[in-house]
Amino acid sequence: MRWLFVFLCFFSSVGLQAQHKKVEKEYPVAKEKVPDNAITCLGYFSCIQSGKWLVEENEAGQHFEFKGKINGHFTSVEFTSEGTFLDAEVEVRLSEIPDSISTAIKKLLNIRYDKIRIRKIQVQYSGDCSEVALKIGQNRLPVDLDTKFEIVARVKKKGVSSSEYEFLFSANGELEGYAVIVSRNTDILDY
Amino acid sequence: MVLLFCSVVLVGKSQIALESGVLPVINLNYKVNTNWRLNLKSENRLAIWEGSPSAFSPAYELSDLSVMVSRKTGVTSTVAGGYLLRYRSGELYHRFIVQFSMVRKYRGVRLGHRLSMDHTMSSVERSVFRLRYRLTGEIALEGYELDQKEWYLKPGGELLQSLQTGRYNLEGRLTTNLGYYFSDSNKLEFGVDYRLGDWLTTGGVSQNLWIKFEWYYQFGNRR
Repeated sequence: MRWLFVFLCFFSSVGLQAQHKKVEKEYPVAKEKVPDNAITCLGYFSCIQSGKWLVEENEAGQHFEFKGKINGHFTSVEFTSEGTFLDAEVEVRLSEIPDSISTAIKKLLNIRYDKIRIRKIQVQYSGDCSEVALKIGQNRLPVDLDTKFEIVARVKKKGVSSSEYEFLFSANGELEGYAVIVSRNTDILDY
Repeated sequence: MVLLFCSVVLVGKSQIALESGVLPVINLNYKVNTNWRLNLKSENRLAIWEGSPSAFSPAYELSDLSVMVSRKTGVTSTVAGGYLLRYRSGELYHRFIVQFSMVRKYRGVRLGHRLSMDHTMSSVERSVFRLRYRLTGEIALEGYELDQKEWYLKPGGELLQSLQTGRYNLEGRLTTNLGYYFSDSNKLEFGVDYRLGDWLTTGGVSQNLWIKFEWYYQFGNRR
């Protein structure tokens, strides 16, 4: 009986099937496979300290992305499948955002929630590749009308369990949108 | 491979008996709602080498069946409690478990901390109380995020303290698993689990090396 139990336990994983769900995939790609105009665009960025090229695939299509450290900040530069520049996101600390904007953001979040813990701040730049590269190359990241701020924060309201959200703020610190972040299962780390 | 090498060197140098074999595990989870989950785990030990790597003697060792109820206490933290039933050498062992776990996310890596306490009782042995801490990493092998149909590496280490009739003991465990992420509710892992026990026993330390296969599956409301 016990051998049957062991046998069933051991082989019951045969026939595993993947779930039919939204598939998003990110994997490294050789520089040679990246379109030339994306390589040219990245050439405008000075102070690239480290990084790698990745392909991001989802049901909408394929994107090329360079992720790495540029001018001391973790940065991701996104391109279309043809190599056209889309945007660049620079990870910063709250203290690196102009005071007027960080104050406006904190004030707005404080009105909506009782407890806030900011986990990640990204400055988003879009437009012309060479101009964006110039902005990111500066010691103090500039803010203009096209700049957006993406903030990941853990928030809590009284009587409601805490959640993690991604907020999008304009260059003036106005909330443009938000979405709840659904974390992956932690079963493989809990048990 | 490193663990296997270390254990073989230890066996060779100090003549510490090595027990090794396979450890198939099925880990089923049921998401009741946003906060509550049920975990059902079945684990079996099949010893293959006893004493030294050359002593081939396959033998069934034990079966564990456990049920845990967990509740999310925060975005990344969970408390759980449950019961484990062990069948070994014709005897039943009862274990009551409480644990607190927390997962931290970094770029390309998730770190899981687990603090656990348990109390094991049986009719053949005195009660054993254990306090254990485990640190496990989950490293995406393609890109900075672990996505569906990708491989990941799961290294881990655990320190166990036990108390049985006033005798205090220590055990250390090192694991390295390679996993495949079919989806958020379906994962398969295989790897090695090296255990160095009885650090404070006068009879000397014991060591085990298990080849582990583990399947994680989640039923119910998946998101």
